[in-house]
Amino acid sequence: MNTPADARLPATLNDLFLLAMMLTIAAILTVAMVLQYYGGEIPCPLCLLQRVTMFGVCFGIILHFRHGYSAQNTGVSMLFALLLLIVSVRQTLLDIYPRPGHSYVGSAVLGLHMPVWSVVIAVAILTAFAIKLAVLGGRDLRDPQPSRALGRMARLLGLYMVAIGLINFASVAVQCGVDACHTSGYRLLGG
Amino acid sequence: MIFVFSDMSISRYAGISIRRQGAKGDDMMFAVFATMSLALLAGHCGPRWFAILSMLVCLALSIGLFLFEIYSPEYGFRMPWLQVQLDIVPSVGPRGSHS
Repeated sequence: MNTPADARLPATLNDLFLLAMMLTIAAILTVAMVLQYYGGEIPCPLCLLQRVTMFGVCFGIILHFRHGYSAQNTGVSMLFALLLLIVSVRQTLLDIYPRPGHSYVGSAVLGLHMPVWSVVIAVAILTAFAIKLAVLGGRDLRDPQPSRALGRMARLLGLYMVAIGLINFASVAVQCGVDACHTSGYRLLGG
Repeated sequence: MIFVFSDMSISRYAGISIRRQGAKGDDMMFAVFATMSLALLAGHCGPRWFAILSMLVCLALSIGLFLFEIYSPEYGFRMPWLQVQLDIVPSVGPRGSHS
């Protein structure tokens, strides 16, 4: 017979998994913003779309920690991970053959450029969700007594995601205005 | 195998934009980030239905913008720079035969 602690274990593991995923995506987006504001690497339209999809993945996780477990939240996150994969693969294929006016934007990290990293990130997210569903799927992952420490960490991280989402929105407004986005400068700053 | 390749200056990434000016979709990035911010805010401290609705609108706009960004009036959605052709057609024997 399962003790209450045994019954709570899958739900706690699920919370830890989602928290780790949100933390990783927050770190990736923070690095992208540091490269943009300190490195002067202005993101291209498809790069901005890739950021949106990463925020979309985190959105499903934020909903989980606020409203409790639901397969819908996992579905929303996986949908955005799939879109991230499609956008990044297309961008990789656009620039895979160097030709005049076409090359990977930004600097390479460990030899890989941003769209290639996005492919890796999207595959990692989808793989992680698949493993989670294979291991924990089919159980009721609602935790009747969620850990307060985990909940507090998730709330803080969720708030951080909302904050960098708003910063990115402001940044897009400055870069693109309500017109097409270019990588040559910030439209509202006269770039 | 040789690559069939010609210069296609449809770059949107090097700051060179030959896109149709004022075309529909130019202002969509702003709308995508606006709906995303709204969804994140509602997801964190608003009603769930509104958060999901905003994110679905954001998803639809993102897909629309993605298709707009990758579409070229000249090539459509094709990527002709990736086309390859064989300069020597290999002879393929029937299955199982090794020569």
